[in-house]
Amino acid sequence: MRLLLERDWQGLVDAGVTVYLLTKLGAALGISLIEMGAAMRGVSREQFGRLLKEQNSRNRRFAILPRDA
Amino acid sequence: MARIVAGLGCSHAPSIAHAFDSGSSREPAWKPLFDAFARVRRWLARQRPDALVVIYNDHVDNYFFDVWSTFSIGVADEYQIADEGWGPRRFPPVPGHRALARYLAAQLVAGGFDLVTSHRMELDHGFLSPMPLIDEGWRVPVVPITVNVVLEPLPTPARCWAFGEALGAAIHSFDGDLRVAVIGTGGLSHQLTGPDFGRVFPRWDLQFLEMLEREPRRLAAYTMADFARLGGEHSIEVVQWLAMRAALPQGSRMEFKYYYPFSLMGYGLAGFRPGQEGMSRDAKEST
Repeated sequence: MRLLLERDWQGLVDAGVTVYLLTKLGAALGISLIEMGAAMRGVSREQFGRLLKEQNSRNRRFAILPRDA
Repeated sequence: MARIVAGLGCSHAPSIAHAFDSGSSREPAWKPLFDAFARVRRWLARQRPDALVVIYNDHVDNYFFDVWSTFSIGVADEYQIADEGWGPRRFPPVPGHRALARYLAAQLVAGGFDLVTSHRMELDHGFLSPMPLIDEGWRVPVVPITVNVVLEPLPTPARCWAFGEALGAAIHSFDGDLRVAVIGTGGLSHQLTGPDFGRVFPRWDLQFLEMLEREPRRLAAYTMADFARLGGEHSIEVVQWLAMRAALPQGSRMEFKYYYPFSLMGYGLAGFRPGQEGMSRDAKEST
């Protein structure tokens, strides 16, 4: 309960809660998975967004897509 | 006799459903993935399936921690849409192929897989993220099958492979002129906890697709911990692709693959054309 009140997502995971339940908590509380992820990584939401963008462009070369995409 | 006319592996991330429902599937970020799904839909329609056997995993929507099945099969006439916290998505119930499902359940249990038979199953995003993109309007009845990748103890990948083999044999022995497509959903790489949250593992994903095509039995020798290390904790859902692959006859070939590493996921789609050798399967090859 303390972990939930403190919005300690990683603490909940460490206590054995699956992320599939965290998303349901997020649905009830209006908190996105991305926000939870940023907290688990210990960065702000904005920083996490930048990290994902960097990862996207780094990984783009691995994509295999229909030719007209 | 029934025969398998297509094998398909595809991702099932909730983000696919969110993009679909919010109308952002034509935005540049999502268009490549939805274009790939559109190709897959047309490809599957050309195989003219009469039934879709869909191997997926539940995410604490149909099952809860009081009772959780290792393998389960739906044997109902129709399946309701699960409420995952935002209300059920606005789709009508999904029609089930009850006769095939009941037959497969009996055959699998007789063959040593003591799976749960479920007369009431609510389908969550493991099924419902990709399926509206693959069979728009529920034209083809389904047989939903779940694999436990959530609550310890988990089945081994080798067991999931063996399950797929038994499933393929059971489908081929069904006494009816049915064209069946087998679909495995989940993965590919994603990691949704800890300091690596959001990490995608594209090199492993591409290696996985390569191995799935050429030497799938080697993947069956991996452990769940191996998959978690190579593709992130939540990528273990790929055992559902393994079960699909194992269900296909000997001589099956990958016909296409699409891969899109984006945001939190390595999204993958791969289609197989089954070999023509019916009951003998890749499993019987000496590798």
